[in-house]
Amino acid sequence: MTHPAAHLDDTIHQRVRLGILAVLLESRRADFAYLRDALELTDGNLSQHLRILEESGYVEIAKTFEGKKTRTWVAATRAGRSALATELATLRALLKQVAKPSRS
Amino acid sequence: MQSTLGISGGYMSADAQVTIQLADHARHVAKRDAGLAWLATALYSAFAVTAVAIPGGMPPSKFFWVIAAPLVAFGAMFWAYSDGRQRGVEASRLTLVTVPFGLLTLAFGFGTVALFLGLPIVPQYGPPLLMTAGYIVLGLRQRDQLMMGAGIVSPITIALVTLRPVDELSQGLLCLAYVAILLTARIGWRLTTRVAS
Repeated sequence: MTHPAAHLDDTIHQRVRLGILAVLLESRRADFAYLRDALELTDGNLSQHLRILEESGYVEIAKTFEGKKTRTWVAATRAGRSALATELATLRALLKQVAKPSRS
Repeated sequence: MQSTLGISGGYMSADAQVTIQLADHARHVAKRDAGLAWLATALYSAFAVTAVAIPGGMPPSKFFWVIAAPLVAFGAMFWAYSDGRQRGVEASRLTLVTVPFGLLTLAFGFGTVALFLGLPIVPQYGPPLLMTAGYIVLGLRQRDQLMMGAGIVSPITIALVTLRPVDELSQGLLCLAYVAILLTARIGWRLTTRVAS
């Protein structure tokens, strides 16, 4: 029997990336500025985390033109949604494990 | 060694709890900002009161509820969707359509069956009450207070409309007041707490 911690996903076992996926889970997509403000990040920091998530196939990034402005939209992929659900389930399992009284 | 494990376990536990709480909070903020509850709520409510108004035919005084109320709801839905999009978060359009219309079909189907069976009162009050129950269940399931609130406010509106006969103007004002309450709640809830705070 493996320890629940073995199922933690290194890519999203990081609070900012987990926060990004959590926001995207409840919406069809969110734009760059919304994510930056909601998570209180700098542009550079958010870009870095989005790149990691995109490389892992957890988010899709699309740029649209609205008037003269470019808007960057981010959406969670099916893999991203699934990874978040697994991560949260693993964390909950971990909490249960830690809460169990030791037998020694 | 045991104490080290204890400290490690405690740290892990606290870390996991904070992470779960952060994820829950982020989801809550996004859900509120995407306006999903608001949109669905406005749509449900208008149809719920409409459903109450139409049994027993469609006299001219019921026109408001049949035509105007759904139009107001659709207007609110369009506004909320555009508002969310402008602020940078888009609700799922599929959910917006499937959830309200799924409940609507269920409610009207129930009302039709009750009418066919000749049950008294049930065809009139069954559909809106079923919708109200739908709100509350969905609200509880999604931990969405606005949706649960709408579930409670909806029967009050229905009671006002059905138990006390009012003219079309009063009905219109009541509907506007109802939308205003939801709108105020929506705007009030937008005074946001950020995910990181």
